[in-house]
Parts: sequence; structure tokens; C-alpha cells
Amino acid sequence: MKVIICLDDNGGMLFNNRRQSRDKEVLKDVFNNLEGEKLYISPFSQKLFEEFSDRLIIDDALLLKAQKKDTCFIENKCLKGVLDINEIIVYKWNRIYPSDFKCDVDFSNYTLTETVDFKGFSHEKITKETYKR
Amino acid sequence: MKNKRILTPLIIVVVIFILMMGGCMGSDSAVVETEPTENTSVSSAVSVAEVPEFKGEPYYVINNNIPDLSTEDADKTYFENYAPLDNLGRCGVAFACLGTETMPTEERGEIGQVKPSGWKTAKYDCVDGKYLYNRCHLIGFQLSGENANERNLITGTRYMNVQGMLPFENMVADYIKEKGNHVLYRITPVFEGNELVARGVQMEAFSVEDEGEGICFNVYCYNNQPGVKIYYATGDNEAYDDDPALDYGKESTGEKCDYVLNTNSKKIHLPDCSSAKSMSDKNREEYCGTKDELLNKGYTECGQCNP
Repeated sequence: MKVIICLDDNGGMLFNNRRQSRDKEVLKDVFNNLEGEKLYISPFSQKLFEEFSDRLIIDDALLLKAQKKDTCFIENKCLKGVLDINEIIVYKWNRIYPSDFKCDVDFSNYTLTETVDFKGFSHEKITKETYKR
Repeated sequence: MKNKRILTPLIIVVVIFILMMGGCMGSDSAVVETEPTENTSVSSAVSVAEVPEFKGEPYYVINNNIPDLSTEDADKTYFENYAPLDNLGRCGVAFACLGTETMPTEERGEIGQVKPSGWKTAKYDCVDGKYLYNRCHLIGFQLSGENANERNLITGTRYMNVQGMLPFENMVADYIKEKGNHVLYRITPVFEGNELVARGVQMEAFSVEDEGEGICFNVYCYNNQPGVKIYYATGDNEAYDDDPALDYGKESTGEKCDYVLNTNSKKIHLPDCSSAKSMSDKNREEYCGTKDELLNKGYTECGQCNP
């Protein structure tokens, strides 16, 4: 499966059970690359994607249910030990936020295949990195 | 031009009048000036005794991150209040309802003319940018557009400014820019007794329109600098080479590293193996996990250290 995550410069994802940041341009980019497929999200992410409600599969067990061709947007799940991930897309905020929940992916198991910078709605520069196994 | 509801001119006049009266109270006034001066109206503000000693973490979470702020303090519009300096020249509480309206519309200007209480110029090699102290905004410029407001600037270490406060300011600023919402935001400098330099600042924030769903925190940021001892009474300072905070994180990283990998030769080494020590940084990787995991990934054991 393909996994999408957003990280700050310290590999942080959440603080006080809230996402560190958000950007409309990231959401647009996520769906531009889905080619009509639906996106798996957990209930935690539902409000973030409320404008895209017809293109979602909402399931807290998304990492167990998603198949090889599926894409999961992950905000509050550990990924260490999830064996079926063949691609990870990381949106980097290029900022430091407070964090108490960090990404646990060992990126040394993946190869960085693409890096793209773009301007966000509320972020000067967002870096999109694609890692493949 | 920004149109801020800060303090009405009438209140400012009253405050100045009271301060002038305080300065004309005869010989007893000298005694009054040595007493701790309260210029905070926040009864819930944390005290130095309530937070653990600084050990290398830039902030400490208070009350499970629940701030003592209520949306009754905001009517989904914006304001900024900065307490007047006390008779020791110290800042008090800065309280605001932040929104896009309060954010800067002009480039940041000079602030060097402001000398916050306890201000000293000191440089250390161990400090990012060398200078120990920053003129540290209570409410950051990116949030308030307040530049050289003496009621909003304290003597803060580089560490507190950048490692402690800035990440929280970034989070609030980007939330406001993205959502267009408002955030109740209160920064309380925490002084002990008559000390001129704050021991830390309490930062509280709560997003208004979504009732804290986007932003909600209550933390204490330490006004410390690893490797430097600070005398908070005066702002004096000296190198502190044995500061345990300098080792924060290093020890645990060492313990977690089970093996050193050569990603080029695909060899597994023990951390103290001579091959691991002489390995080029380009091929070196520290690994936390079991040897079986590595063998399954195609790595083989070093014949020298037999990991």
C-alpha cells in the first residue's frame, strides 16, 4: 500500500492529540495524485477532509484493511511493523512545531525517488518526498 | 494600517497617573520598590516551584495541556493587552485574541533600543548564534506584529526563544493563516521574587471558533541555556561546562544503538568495533533493533567483532 504522512523538521506528527499543521494545497495534491481512487483515512482525519467526503473510506483499521493498490493518509498511527507499505509520500512543512507523537518509519529501508517543492496556502515551502521500497 | 484594540487612551492615562503617583510617595517608596511586584492578574499562573528543574527538555506540559482560558474571553474578534512594566521594569502578562488582523503587515524593524529587565550582552560558543540573550517577544512578532514594544520584550535565552517558544508560535501562526480563525493566547513571564530575569514563560493557547479542536496547549518554557549558568536576579551568567542538560538525549541515543551498519558492504558491526569507528560517514548507519531483522534484510555479520 501507499502511505501519506506530514512531518515537521523533527519528524513530529502530533502535539496534544492534534495535528501539528495543515495546508489546503497538500490536500489538493493528495487527491490530484489519486487518479480517481478513494483515500483511506481514520476517523481522526475526517474533519480535515470534509470537502472531499465522497472520495474517502473512513476506517480506524485502515492499515489492516487497505490492499496493495490503496492509499492511506496517516496522522495518528504507528507505522513500525506495518509490512505491506511499498511507498511513502512525506509532505514536509519545513518548520518546527512542538511534537509528542513522532513518525517511527525507518526510512533507511526505502529509497528516496522524488523530491518536489511547492508553495502551500499557509506555508512558504512544502517539500514532497516520495520513498519506495 | 492595522486597527488594534489594545488599551484605550483613557486606560493608558490612568496607568501613567498611578505610576507617577507611585514614584512620588516619599521615602517609603524605596521600601516598596524592593518588594515583589505583581503585575499579573492571572491567578492560575504557574510558579517556579510547580515545575521540575530544567534537565534539557525545552518545555514542560502543565495541567495536561489544558489552558485556563475561556472562549468567554473572546467574541471571535481580536485584541491585544500588554501589562505595564512593574516598578522593577519587568514585563507582565501579555494576553491576546490573535487572528489574521493582528499579524504583521510590515517587515520587522529594529528592537535593539529596548533593554528588558536583566538585559546583559554575553556571547558563548555553545549558543546558536553566539548571543546568550535575545530580546524575546512574549507574543511573537509573527503573531502580533508588535515590534519594539517594551511591554512585550523580556530577556530570554536563545534556547528558550528558538527551542521553547518558537515551535508553539509557528503552530499558532500557521493555524491562523490556514483557517482564518482566532486563538486566545496568553504568555505569562514567571519571575521568582525580585529577580530581573524570568525563570521561564507560561504559554497558553486555545482556538476560538472550533473551541480548542485546532489549538489547545498549556506549557512552561524554561529560560535556560544548556552550558550556561544564569543568575536570574541580575542576568549575570557564566559558562557551565558540567551542565547535565548538555548531555540531554546523547546518552539515550547511545543506548538505543544496537548495531552499526555499513550500508555499502551490508555488514553488521558492534558499536565499538574498530571497523565501525573507521567507517566513512557516507556508509555508516546506526541501527536500533535485532540482528535477525538485519539478516533478513540481507546484511551479514562482521567477522572481526562477531556481533
